[in-house]
Amino acid sequence: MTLEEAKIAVCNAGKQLLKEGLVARTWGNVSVKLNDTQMVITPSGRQYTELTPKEMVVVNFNTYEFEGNLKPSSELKLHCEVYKTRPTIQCVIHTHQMYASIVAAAQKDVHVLDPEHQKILGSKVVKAAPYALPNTKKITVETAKAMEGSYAALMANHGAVCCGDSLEDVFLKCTTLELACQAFIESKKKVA
Amino acid sequence: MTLEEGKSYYTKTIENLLANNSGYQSWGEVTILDGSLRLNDNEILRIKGIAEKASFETISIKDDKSLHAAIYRKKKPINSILITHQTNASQVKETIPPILDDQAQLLGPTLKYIPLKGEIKSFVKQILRGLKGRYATILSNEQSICIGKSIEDAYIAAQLVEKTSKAFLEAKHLGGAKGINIIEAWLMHKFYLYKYSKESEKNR
Repeated sequence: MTLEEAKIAVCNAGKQLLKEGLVARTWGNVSVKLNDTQMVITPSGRQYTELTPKEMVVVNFNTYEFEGNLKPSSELKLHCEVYKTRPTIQCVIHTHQMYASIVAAAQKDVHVLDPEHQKILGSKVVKAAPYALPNTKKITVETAKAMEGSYAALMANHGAVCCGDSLEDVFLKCTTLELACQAFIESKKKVA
Repeated sequence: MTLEEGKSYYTKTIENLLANNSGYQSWGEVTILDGSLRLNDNEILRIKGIAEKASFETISIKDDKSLHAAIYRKKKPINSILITHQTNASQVKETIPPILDDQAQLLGPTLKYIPLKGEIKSFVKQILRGLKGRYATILSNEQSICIGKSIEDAYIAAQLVEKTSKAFLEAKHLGGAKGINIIEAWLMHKFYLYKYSKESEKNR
């Protein structure tokens, strides 16, 4: 993917996040790996509806240095950590989606009940990283750790993060995670 | 803002929000019952109903005895109020502690439930107490008061009230939502209001 293609893809993905109700306002963020050291990520504090491809930010995920005047998403270190620790990952999306947020508020791991969902998410359990304040080293390290062996993790009292091979693939993982969380909650209602 | 500008701004903004934010519906349903916006230091535009069915009235911030005027008198940075009915928020019967970061950042450290008691005259005082240091409050009459620096802000506050309420209610099936530290929630709210918002402005 060229730089221009990556910027267009990230920008469109941001708008799609909003459209699908996976985020609201300026929350959440999207990135695509550009090469062995750089990624393209959504900027900080911008409304997705107003974004243009040229406003996407190129960041060195080893040094956190970024190009241009626009600051990258405040959660960039989480994206950097995923690319540094999992070289095969090409895209990362952080969302504030509804059902994942419910399980995250309860600080529970998600037991993925549907085998098809397990295949897509890469694990039978999607772990919840312990609570840490946003944009801190703790949230970065703990979330990356919770995602080990899976393509998704919950961030306690915050939201979710998914990673994968392409933006289409990660969107599928985000929506599958939502279904898995919903099914998990419904199963607990039945038990009660 | 003139009366005509206010009418046009309110109508267009609400129509646009309702048309383009279908994604938020995954957070639950929000019905706007009525609203208002600050026209200038002295007057507000009171709106009953939405879109083409809306009726408009200009009222004085200083003299009017309504809840709207009282909120604008008390909260200077606020320029818009929406009164809503929401599926999940209407089922909440207690104050919701800080259970989600986005809740704490935008709405404030807790989402207060106000069990309206006593004479109607005293309701304004009770609601203002619910909004102290906060951008929304849930009332026992199954309505929510959501406020913001703009109509868009008040609307997103309403969406977040619904998301928070749904998370709070549904998490009971998982053993209950675990609240985050209230001081940290308060600090996050202040950081979001002042530092993050200013940084966002710089990034424009």
